[in-house]
Amino acid sequence: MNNLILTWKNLIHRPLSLLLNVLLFALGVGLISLLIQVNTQLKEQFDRNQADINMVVGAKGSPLQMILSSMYHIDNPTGNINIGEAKPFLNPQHPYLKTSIPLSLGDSYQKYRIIGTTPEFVELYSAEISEGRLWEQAFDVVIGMAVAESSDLKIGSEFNSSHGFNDDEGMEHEHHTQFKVVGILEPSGSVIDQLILTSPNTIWAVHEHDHATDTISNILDNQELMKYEDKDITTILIQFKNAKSVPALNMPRAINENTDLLAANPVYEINRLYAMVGVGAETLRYLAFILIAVSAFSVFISLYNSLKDRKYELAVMRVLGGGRGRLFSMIILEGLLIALLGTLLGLVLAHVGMFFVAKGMEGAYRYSFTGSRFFIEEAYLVLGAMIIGILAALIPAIMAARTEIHSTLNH
Amino acid sequence: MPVFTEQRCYDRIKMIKASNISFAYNESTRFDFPDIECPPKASCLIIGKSGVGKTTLLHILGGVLKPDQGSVLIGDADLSKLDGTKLDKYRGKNIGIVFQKPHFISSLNILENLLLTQNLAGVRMSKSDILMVLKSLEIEDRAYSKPSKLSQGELQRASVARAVMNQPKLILADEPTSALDDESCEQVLHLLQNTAREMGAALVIVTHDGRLKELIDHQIVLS
Repeated sequence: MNNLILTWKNLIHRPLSLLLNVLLFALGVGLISLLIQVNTQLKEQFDRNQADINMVVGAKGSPLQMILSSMYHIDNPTGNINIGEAKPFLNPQHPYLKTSIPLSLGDSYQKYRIIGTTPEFVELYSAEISEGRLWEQAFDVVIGMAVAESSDLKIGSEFNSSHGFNDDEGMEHEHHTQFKVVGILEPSGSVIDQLILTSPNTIWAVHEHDHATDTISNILDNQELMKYEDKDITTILIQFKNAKSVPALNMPRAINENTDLLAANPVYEINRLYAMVGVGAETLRYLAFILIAVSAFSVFISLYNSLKDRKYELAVMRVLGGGRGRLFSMIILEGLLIALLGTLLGLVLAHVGMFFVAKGMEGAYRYSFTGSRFFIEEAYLVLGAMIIGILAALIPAIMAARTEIHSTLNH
Repeated sequence: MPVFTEQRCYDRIKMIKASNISFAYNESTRFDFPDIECPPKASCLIIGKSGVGKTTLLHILGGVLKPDQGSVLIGDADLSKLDGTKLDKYRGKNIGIVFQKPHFISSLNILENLLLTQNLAGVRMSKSDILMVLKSLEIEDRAYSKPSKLSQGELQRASVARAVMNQPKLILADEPTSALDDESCEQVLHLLQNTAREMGAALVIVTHDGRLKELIDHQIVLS
């Protein structure tokens, strides 16, 4: 009959009170764990998809929308830009630009976006071919691993695209040439896993039904692309040679003021986004802390009340040789055990919950979330919860240790 | 003859010897208690009306309450020389107390309560020892019942079991019979006396129950 068994028996002797306390603790801890999981994975995702891109150039509109559509492939593009106008930023000879990658958006297959771009795009995300090869001819496509896994596409598959980003059969292009899968990429953990890649002229061919573009030789680099000044692309992803240099820092503002193009800094825009949605996350975090504070208070009240019922029991334990330390540690252990059970339940709920939420989030964020990852912050959470359990039990434990046998039993 | 020798031997050792004890709650409530001696295997009755300090004396003898003056010797141990955890452990191991109202840990069954009794006293836990004691008190069938399921009489027996569990040198009983009818009263007294005799312990009963006067010769009256 050691303290642990005694504590456990004491707790389950009041099952409803135990249940309430454990549930309250689990809610607080679970909510924080869920926030940690979502925030960390989302941040990792945003960081990975940033791919060291310093600037995005596209059509006038919302800079955040342009960043979301061109880098994270959520939200719609702001529109198209004329290659003639964007030519300076496509030029490999540009003194300040290290990389510039054109993107043509607008089509999708099932829920996956088709991107007209150059093979440099694959390098940008450090992706590698897992099967097949990169696109060489018009209508060749390379698909990300997530596309390969969840759609019916494999090497050699042919398909028609849909206009727009909704999987809508009415919007399917009836083109005489179909897309043909020639390669599948290794999973990279970034957004490229969820994309279908092809050349820019393939996108033009799908949209222009006079077949004039059919004769264009397949475009695989910027030099080639720059020849078609009257054609459109959606955005250009740009890496500077030196992102900290004065010309690089001034370039977005110069573009926005002097041209009809829109230039945006992804880091700045994403930080703005964090600041906006961060308020919601912050509110949830406060809510979680309030829940934990309430559960600590509830543990305190339960133990405090149970001491009143148990004052004779405690006095008898003292008579039987139980020292003050023994009674103190027994009550502390009760608080600790409630906190431990609540924390474990909370973590299980949060991770199982994350597992179910993950599926829905994948569609919205173009990223696979998982409930099976544990983060270091959760270890701190467990530690913090234990400390709160002990603190909640501290005053009742001191009261228990102060039990005076004579005065308790003598009335 | 050997029995006689043994008896005489016990007679010379006073299992409990309390002398010159006084205790004051405040200036107006002060108790001066008569000296008390009781040899092993013997019983001693302390009687008095309510308010004469019976429970106070019992708690002093049991090492629960420190007297303002005087000394309590149990065997050759002086309670006034023990303190804190040492006193707690000594009490748990050597003094068994039967309270007027039997208080048990309500979340534990009788067996677990008695295991806890051994554990708190620092005695090796033994289920078989407990079941043996419960058997001798004829409540072994209640070993796995929670205290709330036991009748008053059964609880009183369990209480006796707890008091004798660790084979104490001294068994103290506070009004053990006041809630019982005549038959049970005598039964519980014999139970206590028999157990004390078996263990070689001294039995001190504090009571206002007049019925016990006729059953125990050695009496100390508090006034």
